[in-house]
Amino acid sequence: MDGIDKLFSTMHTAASGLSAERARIDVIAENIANARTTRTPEGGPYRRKLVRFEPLVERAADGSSRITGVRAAAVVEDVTSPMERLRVPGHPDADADGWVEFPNVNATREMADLITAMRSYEANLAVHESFVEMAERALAILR
Amino acid sequence: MSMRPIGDGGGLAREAILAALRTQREASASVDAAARRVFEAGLSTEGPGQAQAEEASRERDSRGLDLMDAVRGVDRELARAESLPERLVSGEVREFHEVAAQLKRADLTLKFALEVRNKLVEAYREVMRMQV
Repeated sequence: MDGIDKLFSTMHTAASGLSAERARIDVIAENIANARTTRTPEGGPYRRKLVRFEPLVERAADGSSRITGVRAAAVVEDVTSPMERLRVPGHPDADADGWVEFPNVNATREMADLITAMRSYEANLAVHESFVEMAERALAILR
Repeated sequence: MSMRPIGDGGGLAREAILAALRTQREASASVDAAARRVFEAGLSTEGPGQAQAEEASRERDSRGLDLMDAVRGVDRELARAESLPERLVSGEVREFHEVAAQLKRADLTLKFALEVRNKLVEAYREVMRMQV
């Protein structure tokens, strides 16, 4: 981190939050788009995906470390919630008795996640804006 | 005091002028130091060793060089903002906020530099305007 970056560290942290929330919204979009996908290249129906966040840690020369933001570290599959089984005779992926396994994507839950992601994005934007405002107010001292 | 005293009133006036000059010099020095501190941020510091070396050389160098370094830092910031369209097209920039944040950052850096420059010029003019 060079000198000017230090001045803008708040901005950097807020931007990392924006990127992370953006990644979360991407995954929610993927889940909603694939809510009815019954066949994937890996075989079986689509599995709901989740994003795992991790702090961005910066280590100083003296061995101490501090958190400088967040990042979407990994996209993991939701293996705990069960797949939805519906009887749809005639469906290309139906078994002998007409049962089809649909993804474990729940539209209501995805929408709730989408709203929280959006609000978090807004919160990070608010931090960003406040920082800019603070910097401009501080600059006004020189005038 | 080497100067011949003119009288009580004259002596006081002289003291006052000297004190004003001293204050002005101090003010100008502190503005200069503040500008230097602000612009040290703009210097490229690849490693702690180099940073120290630069620090040492800066102590020896004239004020002009400090400002050159500072201008280079601001220039780097502006160049980064200027390269945004290309980086956007090449796919290096993937988020809306990256563009906005970089532009705001360049804007703030430039504003800061301008304000400090204005202060320096103002201090210089103030000294030049002084009645001797």
